[in-house]
Amino acid sequence: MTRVLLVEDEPHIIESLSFLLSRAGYDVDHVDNGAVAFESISANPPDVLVLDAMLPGMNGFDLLRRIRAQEALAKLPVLMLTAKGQKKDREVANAIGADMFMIKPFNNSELVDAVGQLAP
Amino acid sequence: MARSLVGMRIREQRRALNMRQADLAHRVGISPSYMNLIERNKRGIAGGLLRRIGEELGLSIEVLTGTAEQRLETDLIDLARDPERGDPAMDPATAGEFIGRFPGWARALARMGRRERAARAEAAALSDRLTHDPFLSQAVHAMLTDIAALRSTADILTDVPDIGRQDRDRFQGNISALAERLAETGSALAGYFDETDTPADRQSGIDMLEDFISTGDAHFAFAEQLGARLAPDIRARTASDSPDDALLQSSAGRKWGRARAHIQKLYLAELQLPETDAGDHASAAAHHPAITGLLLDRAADAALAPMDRFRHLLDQANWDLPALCRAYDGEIGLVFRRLLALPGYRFGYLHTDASGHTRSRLGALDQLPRHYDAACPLWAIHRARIKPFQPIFQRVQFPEGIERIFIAMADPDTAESHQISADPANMPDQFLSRVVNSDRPRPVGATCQLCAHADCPQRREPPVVDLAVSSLQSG
Repeated sequence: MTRVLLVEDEPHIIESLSFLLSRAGYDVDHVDNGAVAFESISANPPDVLVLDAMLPGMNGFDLLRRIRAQEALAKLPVLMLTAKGQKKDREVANAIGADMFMIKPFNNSELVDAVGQLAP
Repeated sequence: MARSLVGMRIREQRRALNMRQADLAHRVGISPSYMNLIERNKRGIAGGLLRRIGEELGLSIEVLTGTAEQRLETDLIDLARDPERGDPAMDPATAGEFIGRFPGWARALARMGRRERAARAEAAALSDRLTHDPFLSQAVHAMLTDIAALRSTADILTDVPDIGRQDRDRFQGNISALAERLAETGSALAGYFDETDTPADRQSGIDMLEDFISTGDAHFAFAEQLGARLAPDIRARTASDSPDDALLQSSAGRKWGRARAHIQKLYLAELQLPETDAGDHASAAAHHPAITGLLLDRAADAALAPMDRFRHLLDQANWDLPALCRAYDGEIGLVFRRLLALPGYRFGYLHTDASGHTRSRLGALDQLPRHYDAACPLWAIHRARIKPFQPIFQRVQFPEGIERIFIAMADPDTAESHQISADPANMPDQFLSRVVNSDRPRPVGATCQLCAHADCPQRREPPVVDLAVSSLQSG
């Protein structure tokens, strides 16, 4: 089963996405802290990473930079979520290696479709 | 325009009094031919002569020099030069004529220009605030996150027909919690806007300040009188080194700062609401922090340098400003502001902090940049910081052909710089003799955008004015 890791600190979003992705057939896990997420990903890489930009511990952009700096995680599929729809955030996300980028508030089915496109 | 209107006013008032030109000349101690030149705007006039003519004609110096009309002309010139609001066909040199022929239209146009400028500044400040205010940034992020959660949860309830009862109850509970949290964030946001100064308040302060400079004569006069009345006490207190002295408890280190703190502590209400003007528009404005600060400055200046004594020292020093500054314990700002308050003269005053940011612009505002504009980098005020406490003299010519003399000095302790600008036609010989006259005036501008000097080595950005047209006007 494809394993999806949600790195998100808003509990209601975690509940919604866990429900939707589980219902779509994914094995869903979640972490609410950027620094903890890096340890978790390094130890046990998921098949798809859904990553929020604003996180305690380490923000999503810095976490993604550290992920891409590791050879083993260089091709890990990453969908970035951010509440800021600014052009600069999208440019930064693209530049540091996000595969897809979505702005909150997102559409449920579009998000599930995006994870489906990224899944191996 | 100042010179042309002064001559015109003298002529009109003299005729209204049925006084012959030669008689007025005789009474004020000049030749009839010189009076004729003054009335025909061929000679400048200032200082004692202006005062004597005003006394003979029964007009105050403020009426003769037309301070309010000068403000009006400055506003119209600003409007004409503004790349967004002005028009290349608006010749700043005709602003005075426009005011003379259509005063009502001119006032309305200037008022609209000021309001539009304030509105633009307010919009820019609001935009800055939305982008950079940490509270707003966090609140907006929290709201967007909650909205994202709310939308996702609501869509699950709508789009998933076979959702189990337990999940349905859970998500409905989430919606309730999210709605409550959104309401709290919204209320906090609304409260924050209510409790803090709006950018509009801060921006309108600049225009209010300039309006007050034009219309608050009675308040400045009161501040001057208060300062003069307090002078003996202030001098005694600032000379004291007693640790019990209340003045020494202020954070300001120098005499002037201590004098200002003392007046602020004990006489603030008196300054803000002089009995003679209670209830008028200017009195209301006097409570604005920027204006209160200006009145406190004036009272402190008058307390440490009463005008009669200052004028005496100025004459004695033959307009040697560094000598005068030394006489006032190195208080450059004090000396420059006293020049600004000198009856019968019309100076412009610019004061910048150590970073070059404009702290205040007072007096004759024409040719001075707006607060939010960057001044011409060629001006003496910027060079003064290189040689603290040494006067930097400059003869300058603006693109329109207007000549001015700049004198700038920087404070060696604070790196703040002060600059006086003067119309050479209105200045006494003692003053002019200190300016190097052999050099040609240096071409300068007000700001790079509005300057037509094509080969300036200090240009930061391209001009928005038409170089060819400006050259023709200045030539």
